[in-house]
Amino acid sequence: MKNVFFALAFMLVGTFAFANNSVETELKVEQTVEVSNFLELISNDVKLSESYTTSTTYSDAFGCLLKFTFTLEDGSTVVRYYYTSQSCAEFFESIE
Amino acid sequence: MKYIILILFLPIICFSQNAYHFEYDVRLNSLERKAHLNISKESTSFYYEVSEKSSSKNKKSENDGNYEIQVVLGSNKKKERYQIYEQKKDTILNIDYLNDDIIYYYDKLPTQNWVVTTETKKISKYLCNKAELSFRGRNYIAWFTTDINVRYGPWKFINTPGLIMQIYDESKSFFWSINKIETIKQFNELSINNDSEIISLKEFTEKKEKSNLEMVNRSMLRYQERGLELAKTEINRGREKTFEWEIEETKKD
Repeated sequence: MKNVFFALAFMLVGTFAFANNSVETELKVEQTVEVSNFLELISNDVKLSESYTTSTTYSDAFGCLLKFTFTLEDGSTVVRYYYTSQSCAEFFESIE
Repeated sequence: MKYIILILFLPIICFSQNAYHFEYDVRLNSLERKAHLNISKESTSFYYEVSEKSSSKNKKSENDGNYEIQVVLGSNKKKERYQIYEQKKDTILNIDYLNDDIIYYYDKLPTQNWVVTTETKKISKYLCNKAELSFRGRNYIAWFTTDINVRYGPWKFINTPGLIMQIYDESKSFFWSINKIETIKQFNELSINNDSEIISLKEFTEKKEKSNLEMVNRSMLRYQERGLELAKTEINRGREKTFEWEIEETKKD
């Protein structure tokens, strides 16, 4: 009788132990953040344009200014400013 | 009697700590992706999913007809970057890529001095406390909970006062936010090639920055051939703006 009792007790423990105890919780985070800092980038462009138009080096060549922002996989960025004597429309036409 | 004691302890043994899996939504500047923190008795690791999307968009500024073009480079390759935590030494073994080559490097993390404040907020059902950290040139704000017995965060945030539910830098350019918590039985262990050369973080950083610039140069080649002239380059580091060896070098100067 004692053995039967122990056997039953082990079975009960086994039932709990091998029960699926995975818990998955989907969370809703209440806070949202501002994604775009585009306006800030635009204002940088304006400053750059102003400084370049007062510069004798670039002012005559300033048909079109292009700002390229390269975002790398680690979130670092390389920002490059280019210019061409063509207008932007002419330039984009030439590369199509 | 000994059987009864055994029976009493069996559930404790059987229900002891499972492995945890935490999924984070991550934003690194304009890149958005998911990341996973896996914690078990044996190991702790973190990795970013690789985004299949590669976005490139043109935007015209309002003022002068000049253009701003945003380009994401190298995010569409199926290469997960892993980090394996070695808690005792405050060191992380990183598995990363340089071009197409897999690279292993150790990162011995500086001491992270978390400053816990009294501010609280609820994220989902968890009560979180605010903590602040200055790490490699950026100031981070974290929201952590002690409801779950885990003292880790995403990426390189270790020795945390609790489980990091949300963390971001002051400018919110870099942002991690937990969106899923689950307990699972166990993880598949990462297999690491023991013959691989392991380089230092300094060496990796130098090579990576050089490789990034080369990638940018390659992508601009066809435009420059059409008469585009380079006026200026700005390099903005990502999550880590300054490293320990750079601070040391500055002190020497």
